[in-house]
Amino acid sequence: MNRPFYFLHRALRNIREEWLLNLRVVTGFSLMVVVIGLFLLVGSNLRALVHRWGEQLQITAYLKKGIDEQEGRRIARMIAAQPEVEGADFVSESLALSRFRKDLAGLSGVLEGLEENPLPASIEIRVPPELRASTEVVRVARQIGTLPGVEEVEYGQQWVERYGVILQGLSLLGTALSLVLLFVGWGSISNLIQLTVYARKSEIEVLKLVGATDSFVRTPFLIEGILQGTAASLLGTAILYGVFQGSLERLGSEVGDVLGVGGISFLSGSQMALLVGGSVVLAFLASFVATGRHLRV
Amino acid sequence: MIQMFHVTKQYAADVEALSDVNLRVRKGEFVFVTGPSGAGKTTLMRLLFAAEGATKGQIILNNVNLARLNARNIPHLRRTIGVVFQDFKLIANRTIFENVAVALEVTGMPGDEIRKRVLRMLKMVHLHHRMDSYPPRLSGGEQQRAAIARALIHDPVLLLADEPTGNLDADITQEVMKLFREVNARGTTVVIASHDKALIESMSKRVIALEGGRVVAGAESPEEGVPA
Repeated sequence: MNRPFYFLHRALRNIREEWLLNLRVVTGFSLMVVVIGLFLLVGSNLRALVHRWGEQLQITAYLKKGIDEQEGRRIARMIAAQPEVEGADFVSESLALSRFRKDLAGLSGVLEGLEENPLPASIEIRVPPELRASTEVVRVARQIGTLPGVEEVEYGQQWVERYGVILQGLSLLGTALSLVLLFVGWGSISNLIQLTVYARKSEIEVLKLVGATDSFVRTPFLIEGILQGTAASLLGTAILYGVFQGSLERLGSEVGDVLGVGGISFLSGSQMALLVGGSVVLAFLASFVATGRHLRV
Repeated sequence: MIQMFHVTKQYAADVEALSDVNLRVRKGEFVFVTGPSGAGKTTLMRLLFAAEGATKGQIILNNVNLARLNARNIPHLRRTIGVVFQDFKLIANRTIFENVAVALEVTGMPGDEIRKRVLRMLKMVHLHHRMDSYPPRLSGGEQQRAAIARALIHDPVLLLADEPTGNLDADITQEVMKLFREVNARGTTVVIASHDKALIESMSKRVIALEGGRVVAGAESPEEGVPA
């Protein structure tokens, strides 16, 4: 039997012999994965929610009286061609009035008696997500304000600032939570894995006494850690998906509908890969540290 | 085979397990290390298989200076030594065959060769019929024979045994001693730490006596001079 197979065989045999202990480790570890995954799920949906709110941010350029539709569309095309602009739509005076009527359907009397349309034509400008929380929006708005035919520009200064603060706050909270979770996760996982290593303390001692190198002793434990991490992360992700399908998705959709921001989604492929990969790396490191404590014989 | 020059082992400022020990054991010798509890027998053995380092002094073992041996090379040194303990130190969830084989597995020897050697060794210690049994199912004497088989499987130049008969009755003790004599007859140097005076007298071998961490008798082979 060559070495890689020898070590794999030893690791599998150790798991089989200590299956109850391994089951406890994998169960405890997978619950940890569920908790971390839940935080990841809430965090990513919160971020998506804020981004969806951000999409509502736009710059409105009101055009001077007397600018006809052809000229208005030309200015809109000119604005849309700018690299900092995602899109620009021309809104004619009549379209603005019909929207106004629709929005104020219950107060239609307000508009009665008007001899001419008081609303100016405008251009609605969308900026890309990465610029929404930055001072770039202000610069772009000011630049648009200097274009010929543009009377006034509105871009919701306060909203831009608040949106930036919310994003920054979320990012800070996310980093702090990740660190706390990593710390707690490491503590729990290394404690669990130490149990399996401690159960074979005397075996490690014997191996060292008969001339085993540290890597010979360690390798099966590292393989065992990788297998435990993989099993726990897959089980944890599956439990989380079950909980999501069973209740979270429906609850999220109902809350989303009330807030007018749509439903929630499960972890993306890369987030699941991060959860599984992170668990495997943590288990590997925990096994490395746990065996290291018993190698000095 | 073994030379110790002014070896001291201190565990704390006021706990000296060995003090200025000088001794020499020639290749192929059979030596007992004796003394009352706390005399330093086990510490001396632990220094010899590099479980610990000396606080002061030099130990030369099979031409290797242990003070200069780095941690990476300790496993290679141990593959030239066989160690037997009073509590056998067998792995409870591995069969007797596997317990003996482990000493060859660590060297990377091919499986076929390991099987051949282990079977031969188990026959030698009369345990081949128990090779698929687990240690807890064996008697003390059988477990010690398995431990001896593991210590000898890689043809060590030196066999160290720390109170190897401490848990065995008189008949089995004689059986184990017979094994040690056979091993020694084939050229392996044997050092046994024991406080069993009757056993030591019955063997008529050189005795190194320790007391309070110091060698009080038998530091040298009769035909040699005092070490430097």
